[in-house]
Amino acid sequence: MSLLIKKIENVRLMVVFIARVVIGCVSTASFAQENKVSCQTCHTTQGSELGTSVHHGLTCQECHSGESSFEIPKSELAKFLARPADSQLTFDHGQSFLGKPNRKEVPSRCGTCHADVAKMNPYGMRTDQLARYLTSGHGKALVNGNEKVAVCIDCHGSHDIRTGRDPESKTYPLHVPDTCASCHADKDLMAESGLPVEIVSEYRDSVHGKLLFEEGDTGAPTCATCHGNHSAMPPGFSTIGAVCGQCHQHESAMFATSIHAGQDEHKGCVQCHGGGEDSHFHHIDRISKPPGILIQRYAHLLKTQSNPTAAQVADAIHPGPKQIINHALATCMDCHDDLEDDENLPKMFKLLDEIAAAELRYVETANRLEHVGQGVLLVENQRFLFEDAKTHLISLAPTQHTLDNEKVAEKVAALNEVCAQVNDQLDELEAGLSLRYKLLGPMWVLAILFSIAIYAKFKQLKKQWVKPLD
Amino acid sequence: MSGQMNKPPTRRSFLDLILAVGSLLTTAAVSIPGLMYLWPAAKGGGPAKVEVEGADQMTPGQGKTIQVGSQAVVVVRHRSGFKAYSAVCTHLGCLVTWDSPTKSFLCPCHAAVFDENGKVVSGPPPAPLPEFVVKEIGDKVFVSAA
Amino acid sequence: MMGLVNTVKQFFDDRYDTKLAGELISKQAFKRLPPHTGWLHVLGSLSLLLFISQTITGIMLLIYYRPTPEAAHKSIQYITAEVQFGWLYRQIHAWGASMMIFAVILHMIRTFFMGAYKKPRELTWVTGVILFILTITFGFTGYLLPWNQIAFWATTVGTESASKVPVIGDWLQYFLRGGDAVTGETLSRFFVVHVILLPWALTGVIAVHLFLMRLSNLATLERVGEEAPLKPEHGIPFFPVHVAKEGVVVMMMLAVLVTLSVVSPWEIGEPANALQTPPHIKPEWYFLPSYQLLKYFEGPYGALMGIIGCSVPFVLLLLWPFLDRGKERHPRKRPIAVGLGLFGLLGAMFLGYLGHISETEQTFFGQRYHITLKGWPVPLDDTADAEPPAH
Repeated sequence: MSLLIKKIENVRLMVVFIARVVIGCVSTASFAQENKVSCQTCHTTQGSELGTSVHHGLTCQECHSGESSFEIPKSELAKFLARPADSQLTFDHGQSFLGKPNRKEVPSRCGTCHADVAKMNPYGMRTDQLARYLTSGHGKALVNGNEKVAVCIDCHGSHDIRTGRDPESKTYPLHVPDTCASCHADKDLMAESGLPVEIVSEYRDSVHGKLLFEEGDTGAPTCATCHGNHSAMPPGFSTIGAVCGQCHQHESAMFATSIHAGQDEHKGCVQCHGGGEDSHFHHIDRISKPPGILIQRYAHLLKTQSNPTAAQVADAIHPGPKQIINHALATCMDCHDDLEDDENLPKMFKLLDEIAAAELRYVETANRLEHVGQGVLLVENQRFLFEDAKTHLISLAPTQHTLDNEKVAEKVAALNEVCAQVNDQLDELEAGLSLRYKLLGPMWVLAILFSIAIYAKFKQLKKQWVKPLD
Repeated sequence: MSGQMNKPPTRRSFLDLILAVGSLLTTAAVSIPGLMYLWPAAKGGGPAKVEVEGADQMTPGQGKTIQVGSQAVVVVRHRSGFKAYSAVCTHLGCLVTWDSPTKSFLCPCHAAVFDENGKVVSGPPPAPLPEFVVKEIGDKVFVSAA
Repeated sequence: MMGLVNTVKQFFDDRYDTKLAGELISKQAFKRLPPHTGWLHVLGSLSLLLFISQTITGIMLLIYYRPTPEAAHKSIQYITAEVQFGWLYRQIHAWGASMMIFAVILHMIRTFFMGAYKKPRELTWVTGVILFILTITFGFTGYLLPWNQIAFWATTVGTESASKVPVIGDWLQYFLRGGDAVTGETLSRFFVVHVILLPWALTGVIAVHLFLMRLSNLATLERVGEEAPLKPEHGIPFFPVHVAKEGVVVMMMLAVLVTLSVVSPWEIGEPANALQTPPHIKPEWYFLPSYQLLKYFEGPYGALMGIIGCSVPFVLLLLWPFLDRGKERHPRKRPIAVGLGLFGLLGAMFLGYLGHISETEQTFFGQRYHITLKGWPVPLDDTADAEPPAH
């Protein structure tokens, strides 16, 4: 019985299907012949943008609703296509058409799909963007009626939305700073919100910005890495350490043990790394340089300066401590205002001096290793040993965040010991080489004396053996 | 042959003395370094280190037994980097092998098992496997005795 | 003691005609050389002495050298860094190779300009030219053995030109390399040629060369067929007189070798890397003239013409005694031969110099020039180059 019903049902479905196909063909054919038009007939730009976007599978109606095609005589259509920009002539898109959403509606319009778990699941996409957006500075302001804040389309584009992995996307890492700058570098707009306009340009000069723009490292942190993307808001000062510590784990852990950690007056990481008093803390930079750069600077100095003074050396390879003293010391002095009697200042200077001396010793040894190795001596073993010095130097950077002279001294001592070992071994190798040179002189003296003796013998023998020609 | 008598003997013998000493010195100067060259070179200087051949082809979880100096050493690539442990079981000196599915070192002699950090999991060994120093320099991996 | 010596002597006397042997040896040892035998006549012995030095140092290097791509460069490092005096023997071997080729060339120049190749010594000359070619092959095969970048790529480029030989070129290159490219197979081949085949081949040809030289004695500057017979009492006995002279040469040669080894050591260089060609690959100095000459042959038959162009001098050298049949030996009386010789020599030196400076920048009379591949100097704009833009 149920089998029969099922068969009848199948036949019915088949008939319906065939009918639909036939009707579809006929209607398409008539569409071509008669005056049916689609959205793209008029909205060509949007149509082609959508075609190359990540949403190329969507139809206009999925965001804007309305009909998928309209019936207009050719003469009518020509009127619409030729109308001037200020024309009063309007096209009736039909009852269900939603039109261009106003800015306030944009997030919820996108959210109809992007906040729907069932719809996003096939794409493996998260659905918390809308919720996060509503917690952000942008989202809150929008809810409060400020329509000038960023909504989805300002960062992602509208018809031309691409994924963040697409190098042409507005959200591709290399383009994120520009995308943010389109508002945050706008003087008038920022003046209304009372926000600074320099932050993106400060970022460009920062260590992260240089990494992104100069070295093209798309893994470098952009605006969104620290501020979040959809939940964009300035991290509160109490959480800066946590934000930086997501990547700079050792530094942040070491800093947490220092005396400054948790002090209200202390701004944490950006106090020293934020670019100083007159910046907006986005000019984040290194204070000490990584080993490779130190070696480069030193080698460059030796190339340009045959006999550099200690001051020139310090100038070339220790820009860090100077930067602290020039930029950050002013901030230090807010609290440590007694230059004469504050016992913390000499301790800090001592710390900086020790680090600077360790860096110098490192680059000197590295440079020597490089040059000794180029000739005939083999310094493979010494290079291997010297890797330890690099490890110590790299770990010195996080350690200095403890502001603990003893801990730093410990690392410096370990570094010095490795350098001393390497230098001793190189001394030994070079002594062997110079001994070779020193022995050349005596060798020649002996060789010449001996040759003279042999020559004398030759003359003597010739006289004995050979009767001279007449 | 002809006129051997017309030279004063003192001058001749002096010249011959110089020649004899010179020849001796030259022979010594040539042969002593030669003998020293032939004498097996003593291993000195820095630590014995060995480059792990084909380290870049190892995938995380893979292990490889290599020789460092006179010792067998197992190099294992973890997700976090390379580690190296002595392959000599601390029980009776059989060579352990790395078993990547179980992430453990297995000794074939008395069924001892060490975990990925060389600690004894089961079996008779009295001590964990000694660890070796691994250094990654550029894309090369070196192992040396601690 | 004397008893033991006598016993040994008796042992040989009972079995061999020791009297005859003694006569043969003393005849050779005390052989009288022409009275004019001078310092220029030690160049041949110098070549031989360098060959002996190369043999000894070569055997010593073999003790530690390993001819595989994995171990070759490391074993050279080991010899240099770990083995006592290893650096010295490696350097003496490397410098000795260059010096040996230099000595052979000087010896040939002396022989050529003094007309010593003329009748009856034509075959001595021919064997000499063969020795020269073998010596150069020695240099070429030995150069690869350290398996460093320069060696690897110089060999790649060098064997590449073998493919330009007509008809058998590709086959020849494949054979030389032991495959399509320079690999461990090439190293094995070159190693065997360098340490087994060439030493014995050279020893054999040297034996013939010396035998012929002894048979016809050293040449004088007299006209062919009009040589005055050598009066023994005027001749210089090889032993002990000429040998004493060569003692001076040995001392100076050793001193120069050691000095070069210390003052201008050959670098070990980077290990061979088949995936990275270093810039400016140039062969050793003795190949520079051919290297430069090959550059001037272009077009469809250029390579073939180049090969022929580079072979002609060697063929000419081999056939020369049969081409130049004049009776005169004294250089002043042979203007054409001497002129041709000088032309060839200066031409080779000039080509070699061009090869040396090609693709570099040089200063002549205060003006910087870029020297092109073919050796043309292109003046460089000094003002643009001297000062980098200020910043």
